[in-house]
Amino acid sequence: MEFLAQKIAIGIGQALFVLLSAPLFTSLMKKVKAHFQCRFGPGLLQGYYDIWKLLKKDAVISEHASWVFKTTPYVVFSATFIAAVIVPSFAVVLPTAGIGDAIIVIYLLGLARFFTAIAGLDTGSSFGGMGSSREMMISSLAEPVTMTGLFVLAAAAGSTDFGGIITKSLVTGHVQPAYLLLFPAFLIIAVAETGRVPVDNPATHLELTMVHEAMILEYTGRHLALIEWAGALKLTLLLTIIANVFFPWGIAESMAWPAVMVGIFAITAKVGLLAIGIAAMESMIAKLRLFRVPELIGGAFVLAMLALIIRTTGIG
Amino acid sequence: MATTMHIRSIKDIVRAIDNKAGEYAGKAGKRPGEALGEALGGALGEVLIDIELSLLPKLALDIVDELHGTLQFIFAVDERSHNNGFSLHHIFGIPSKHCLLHLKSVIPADAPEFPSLALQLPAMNWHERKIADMLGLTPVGHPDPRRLVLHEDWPQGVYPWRDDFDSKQKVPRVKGTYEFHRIEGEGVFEIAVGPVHAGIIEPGHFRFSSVGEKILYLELRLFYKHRGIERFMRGRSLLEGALVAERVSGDETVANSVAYSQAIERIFKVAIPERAQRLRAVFLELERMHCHLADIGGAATDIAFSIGAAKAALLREKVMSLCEMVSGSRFLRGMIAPGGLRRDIDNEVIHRISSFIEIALCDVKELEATTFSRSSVIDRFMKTGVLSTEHALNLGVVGPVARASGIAVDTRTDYPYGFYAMHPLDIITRFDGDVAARVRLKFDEVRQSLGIIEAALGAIKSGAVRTGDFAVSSRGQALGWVEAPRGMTLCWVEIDDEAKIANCRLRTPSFNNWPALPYALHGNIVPDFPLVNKSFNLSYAGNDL
Repeated sequence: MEFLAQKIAIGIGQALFVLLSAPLFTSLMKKVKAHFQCRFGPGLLQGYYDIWKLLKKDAVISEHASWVFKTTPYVVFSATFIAAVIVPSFAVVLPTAGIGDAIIVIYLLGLARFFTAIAGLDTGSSFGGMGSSREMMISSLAEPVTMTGLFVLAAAAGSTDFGGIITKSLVTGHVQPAYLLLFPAFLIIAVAETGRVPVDNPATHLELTMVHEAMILEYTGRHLALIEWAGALKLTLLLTIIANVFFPWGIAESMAWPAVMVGIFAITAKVGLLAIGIAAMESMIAKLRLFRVPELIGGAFVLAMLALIIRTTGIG
Repeated sequence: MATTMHIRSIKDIVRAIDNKAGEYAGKAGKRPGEALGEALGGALGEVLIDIELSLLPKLALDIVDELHGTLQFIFAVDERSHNNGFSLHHIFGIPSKHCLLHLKSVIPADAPEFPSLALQLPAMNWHERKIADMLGLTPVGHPDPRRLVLHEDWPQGVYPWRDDFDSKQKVPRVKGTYEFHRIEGEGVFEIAVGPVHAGIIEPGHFRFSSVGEKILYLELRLFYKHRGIERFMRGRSLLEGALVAERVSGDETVANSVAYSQAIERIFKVAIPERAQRLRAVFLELERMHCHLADIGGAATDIAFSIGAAKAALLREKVMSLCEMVSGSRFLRGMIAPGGLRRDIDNEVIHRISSFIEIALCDVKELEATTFSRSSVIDRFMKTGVLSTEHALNLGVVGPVARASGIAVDTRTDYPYGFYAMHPLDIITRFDGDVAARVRLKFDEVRQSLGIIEAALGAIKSGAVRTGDFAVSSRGQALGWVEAPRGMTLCWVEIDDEAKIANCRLRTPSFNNWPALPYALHGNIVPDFPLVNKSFNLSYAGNDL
């Protein structure tokens, strides 16, 4: 009984942890970018204030919008949230892991993206359609890279389950040729999937240059809050995968409380450092011309394919 | 002031220009550029010639072909009360002769139309349409006779520049639709942007026809900011006119008020004190600097290069704080007046400006290194938004945009005025015509501006900063010209018997440069539009008075 109660507590803890920590990491990135621009920037709690503010506001909905537009924020939020709950953050073996494996995570994110894209088309504004078309171009390139990368990890671990994959990393260590190739590939994918520089610019007001922002331009109030929150969850989720697969240190291998505490601290620090790194890199470079994005993601695909070849031929 | 000799052909025009050049050369015995600096603000400057309306098409084409003149400005004035018609004015710049050729013809009141030259000289397109909107004079043979300045909700037959228009009345709004040019074909779709934009941007509507991301055609729909400034100028005193000119467009405060003041000074044949000339140049160059730095930062912002944007913003802020320290206004308002300056500045302040030059040179160097050391930035700038020399020439493009497309035009050198007549400049040009060329050119010009400020302050002597008794007067008219940050600004003023403004026409560089923007976008992709637009740096308020 006691074991079950602990299991439930850890499960709920995992859900609450990803949900509540996500806005912190996006705020942290804004803070770091502000630092590079010699500004103070918003406080670390700004992400929470924004979501709270938007949740209280009424949503303005175009009279041309169909049910798709109104449902999308809920679909996007729940799909991303479920995906985020599946990915182990502070403990390797999660009771929530039973929901699905790595492939489910990819397709939950795919579902969210699909709905965002058709919601962008739904209101019939010129920007929404433009954003949807660009997003689909980018994700149709990014998805094969993610899948290939996951196959490499799954082949190494003998399991598509994240618990198995991370256990494998813990056992063998990450300094293997296949993993070294996969790390930059996953970073590029994380940047592309979350709409950050150099693929997209989350801070721009220029509609014509937007990708992700163009699709959600029509959203307001609580709808926007959910979409923004889902965006933060997606970023946290992708960074958590990278952190725990490539740097599995500190993650709780048992359900003992001290290990879990260390695990929570470790994952916060790891994701925080990755967020700082990405924000610093974002500050240093300019956004790519839209048609250069395939070259960048193509590079990631080559890395992932090489990793796959190395893995399956047994070189690494 | 108009030449009385009868004009029949281009030869007569050349003779008239040479005669006037001879007069000036005779007076000062120096090259024309220097002579006028001493006489009255501007080399040979304006040469006003009366011509028959029927000769206009032939003469205009010959001026462009044989004298390599470029059309700068067309305007018209309602003179039915005393001249039985409308006067039509064509201003051509002829850099080889340092002359702004002003052709004046009369349109009879009973036949309110004039021959359109927009087909042969595309630079005339918008100018002729503006005249049609504001005065009801029809450009006969214009290829695109749609409304330009007044939108379709303005009733037909109401012309705000006619004398019989009561500017106090409330004009009823009517229904009407604007016909956009349609591009048809498989996969062509339209993207409508604006006039209300995200962010703090002035209103403008952009209609893209594109296939996928590739831009096939861009149609501009501007003029949402019409405030009736030119009409508002009527009856104002000379000083009030300068205050209004300052407020036409925020970042062209000094340029517009200097252009206006120089027109007044040329009407009254007043030479302003040397100290005022030097300080005016300092203000003009400070304005150019903060304008160019805003552009450089804007280009970095548009490609999400945040470090470059932040550094440019910091440097621009330093310039604007300096402006505030000098004048009490970040845009240098309230300094320029006909006859010189409204007030002098302390030697302490002059010293502060001088000591700023060295700091700024360092900062500019660092900013340029930051911007152009990143391959990601260079990749976005190069080959983006190329404006060919041919298009730039045909459309009468001015300022940095023209210079980045390989056209050596600069009002400060071509038609020297004020301090620039004493201090000859080299025109900086670049030849690629892309965003990279325009951004690099602006870096070079910021450095050049610092040099000019240094030279202007180097030998400055104390003394009066304002002169001129403008009270005694008879009717007169003249043109004032200035190189604003965006290019040549022209201001034409006519004074009535009581030393009040009878008519005023202002043309800022944006009016000439806007029509060139779509040509720079051919073959570019939609997400590159904001960057190209930023590199052109066009004003909405200055464009639409």
